[in-house]
Amino acid sequence: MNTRKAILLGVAVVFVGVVAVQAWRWRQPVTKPPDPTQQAVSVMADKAYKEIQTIKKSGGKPDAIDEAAKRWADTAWRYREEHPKTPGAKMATSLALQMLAEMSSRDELLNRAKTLPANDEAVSFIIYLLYRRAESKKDLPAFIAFAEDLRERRNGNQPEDVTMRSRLDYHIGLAYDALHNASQARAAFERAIQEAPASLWARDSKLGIYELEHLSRGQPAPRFAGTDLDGKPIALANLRGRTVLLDFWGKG
Amino acid sequence: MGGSRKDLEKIVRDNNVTWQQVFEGKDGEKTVKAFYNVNGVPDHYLIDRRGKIAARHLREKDLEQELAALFKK
Repeated sequence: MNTRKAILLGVAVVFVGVVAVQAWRWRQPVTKPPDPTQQAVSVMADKAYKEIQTIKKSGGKPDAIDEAAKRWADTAWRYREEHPKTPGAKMATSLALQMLAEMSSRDELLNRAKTLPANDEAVSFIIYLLYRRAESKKDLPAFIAFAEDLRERRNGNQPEDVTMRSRLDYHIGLAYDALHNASQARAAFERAIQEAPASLWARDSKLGIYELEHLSRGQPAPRFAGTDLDGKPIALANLRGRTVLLDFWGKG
Repeated sequence: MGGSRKDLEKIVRDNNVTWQQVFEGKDGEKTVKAFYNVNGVPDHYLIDRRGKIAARHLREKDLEQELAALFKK
C-alpha cells in the first residue's frame, strides 16, 4: 500500500493556541523603547548563535563547538551576575543555559543544576533542557537517574523545595511514559500532584495521567465529529478501516 | 488576531491542500485538540484501521518511521 495515499485520508485540525498568538505578537513592531539590557543580550545571543552555526556548517569538531559554547555561556552568565533583576538578566540566563546545552557533554548543565539555589528559575529551565536533550539522544534512563538524585537533594520543606520536587516528578513521569513504563510514569505524576497540588506541574501531571489512561498506544482514539471547510461532515467513526493521520497545525 | 478561519481557507487554497481540514479556534474544552492533549503545533497522531491509537505526539522525523511500521502489517 502506498503511504502517500493514506496520508491524504488524513484530517488536519487547525490549532491556534497561545503559542501562535505569542509568536505573532513577537513579530509586531515594538512601540515602546526597548530595554537596554535586553538589547545588549540580544546582540550577544545573535553573535553566539552565529558562531555556533558557522562552526557546525563548516563541519567543525565537537571540541570547537564546546569551546565556543562554553565561552558564550560564561559571557552570558557573567552578564546575568552583573545585571541582577533586569529583563536582560533573564535572557542572559536562558542564553547561557542554551549554550551549555549545545555542548557534547551534559555535565556542565548537571553541575549548574546542583549548585544553584532551588528557588532560582534557572534550575527549572535546566531540567527542561536536560529532558529535551535526553529525549532526542534516547538517553532517558540517565535523565531519570539525575532527576531522582536532584529530588533527594531537595528534601526540605521550603516551598521552593516542594515545587522543585513536583517539577522533577512531572519530568520523571514524562520520561517513564516515553519509555512505555506506564506504572512508573503514573507513580511519578501522582507524586507531583501530591507534593504541590496547586502547582503548574500538578496540572500538567494530571494531563500526563489523562494521556496514560486515554491516549496510550492501543487505546480507542477519542471520537470527534465536525465539518470540514467545504461544509462536508467528517467523523472519526466513519474512517474505520483506514489509517488516519491527525495533523495538528496552525499559524505560528 | 492570530489565525482565523479566513487565514486557514487562504492557506488551504494557496497550497492546494487536498485533505479535509477542520477549523478550531483558540480555546474551548470539547475541542479535538483538548481530547488529544495537543498543546502546540506541529503535532501528530496516528490512528490504525481499528480506530485505536498507533502513535501519539509524533514529531516529523519519527512520523515516517511509524507510518512505515504501520503499513508493513
